[in-house]
Amino acid sequence: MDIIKHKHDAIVIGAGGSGLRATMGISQSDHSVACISKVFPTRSHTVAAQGGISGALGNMGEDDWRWHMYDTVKGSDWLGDQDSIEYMCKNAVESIIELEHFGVPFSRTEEGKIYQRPFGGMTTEYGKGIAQRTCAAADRTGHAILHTLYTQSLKNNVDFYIEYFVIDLVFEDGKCVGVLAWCLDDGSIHLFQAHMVILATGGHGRTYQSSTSAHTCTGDGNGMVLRAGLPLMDMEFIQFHPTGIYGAGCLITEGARGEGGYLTNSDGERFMPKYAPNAKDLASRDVVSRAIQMEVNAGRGVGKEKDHALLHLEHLDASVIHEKLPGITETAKIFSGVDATKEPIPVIPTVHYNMGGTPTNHFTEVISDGTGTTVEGLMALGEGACVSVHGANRLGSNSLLDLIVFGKSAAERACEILDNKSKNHPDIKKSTIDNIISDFDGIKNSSGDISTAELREKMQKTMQRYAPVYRDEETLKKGIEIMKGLFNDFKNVSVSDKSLIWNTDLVETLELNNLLYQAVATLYSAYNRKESRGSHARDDFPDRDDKEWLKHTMVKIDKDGNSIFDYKPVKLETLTDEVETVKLKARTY
Amino acid sequence: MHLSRVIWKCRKGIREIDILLTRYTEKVYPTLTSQQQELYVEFIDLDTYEILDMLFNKKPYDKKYQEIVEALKSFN
Repeated sequence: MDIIKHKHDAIVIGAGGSGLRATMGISQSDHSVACISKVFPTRSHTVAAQGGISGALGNMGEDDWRWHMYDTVKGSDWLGDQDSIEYMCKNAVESIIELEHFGVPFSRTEEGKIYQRPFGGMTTEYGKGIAQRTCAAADRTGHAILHTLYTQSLKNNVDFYIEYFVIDLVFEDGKCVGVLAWCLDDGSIHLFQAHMVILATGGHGRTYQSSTSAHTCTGDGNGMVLRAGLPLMDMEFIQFHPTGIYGAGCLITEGARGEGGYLTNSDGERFMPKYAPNAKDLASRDVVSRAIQMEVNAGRGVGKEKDHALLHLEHLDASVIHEKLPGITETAKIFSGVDATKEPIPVIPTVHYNMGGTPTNHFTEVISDGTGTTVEGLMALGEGACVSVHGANRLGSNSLLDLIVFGKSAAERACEILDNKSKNHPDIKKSTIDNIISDFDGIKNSSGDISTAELREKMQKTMQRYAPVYRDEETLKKGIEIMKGLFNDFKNVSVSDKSLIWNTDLVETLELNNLLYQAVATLYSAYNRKESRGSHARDDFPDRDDKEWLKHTMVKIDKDGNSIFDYKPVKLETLTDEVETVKLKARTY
Repeated sequence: MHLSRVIWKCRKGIREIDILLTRYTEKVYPTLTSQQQELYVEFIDLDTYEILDMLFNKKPYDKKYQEIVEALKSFN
């Protein structure tokens, strides 16, 4: 097989918000940079981020990055690393102003300042008041940021390789020295050599049946990291939204219940009063998610598979629905075929964000163990990484901030490292490449008895059923058993198309391989953590256990789908003396 | 344009759009005339939110896409 070779100082894998910010940063230096993406940059999932980006600009009243830091640490249920959180919150203001200068059309106040809105969990004076800290470009902030960063990247010398699928990382003597990629358009195989490989490949929401993730969110970088024998961190922490449309994943806003919507089970019973006698259908996200799950577990789920609930709006006046909940009837009609003014909408708790991923230090350099040993030549950032600023739960509008702050700092760090590195690329052994090609060919030529779509569906249903919002030992144990079987079933997958040109069947199979690695990693990590913290809620261990579990989970997965655990202490010390450690206490709102 | 090439173009970054376009493309695209196929590919290459706005009647749009938009909205 002919392999086309490229040499760059740095390559960035992924062209969402974090990848483009890093690419752009490096492109402003003397170092050469290429950005490889499986989809056109403006089709990255960042485009879907609506809420906004947080930063203590103080445009609407007094604000302080230390208050923002406090909120973020508390939101993380003290699992977030305080050095990284300090870095992010302190650099938020500058990063947002920069975005404004790049051309992001932020919504404005009457005086022309960037308008800032309140957002859940964002407070002033360490929890006393409500902060207005979130900057937005109407309800399309992610879209505006993504398009602006792409345009900015085009101004400088960036080699974009678009619609290239990265097969695996290339390591030589423990150093990451490049990646092997497949050009989807002409079927050619490419070796990209680089002194620094930056993973910005996003989250892995598609491990679950119901998620808000776009089709592209298969966490490919995390799959590669695990195959390279490196660990992922805090994979058990996954944020859910209680009411995604069954089978589609798009969210029905909590406002629907605010306007009088209510949930029922297969007996037609309004079940929320059983779980939340006062708040009923207006209870908080986690309570509603748990109630739906309990009803399903008790055999009172609706539908053919008895695995979801119904959300009723049909008793409300149609004009109220149209006026107060614009778009909901269209969403319900298109994605569940239901006329919400006449019939209930099928809903299910839905995965919304992955806190875990490839572990890094606050410079975004990938680390390989609990002591923080860095992996030469490899960085990671964005939702696919775990730096960790979100800890056990992410606050809304902190994720876009994560992308931008660490995108910028990744570029600075990469340039610093490149300044001190020889410009000569090492020779790569033929056997190193041959091994990757042989695995790739193996998958391409596989002709077992299970289709990619079938195996993916089994994996997604298993995650939905056995690694749900509320977990316990028995469920997770069963989940591990099933998932290990599915992991090994990958050998029996069948790829019908054997060509290399626009073979979407093969792409989806490679993506499935990445997803399966992350799915087992998630299940093992959830089983392993015997406490409840942030988004990880164990029925059998309902309390946070700081004595035993104030630490990050690091998990490696071997070729047979077995786990190897390590732990990394949570960094409670701040980065500088400009702020004090946010001391441990109970997380109550 | 080859079907699998068009399916890849259905990845627009937003879950709802991805699902709708992919399902529709798999089932209906092969049955379209070449002229319809050309227009359909032009449509799915539009900005993600332009497509979303058309589906949700958020603003007026070019009449030439009306048939596609209506077909997508009633496709299940």
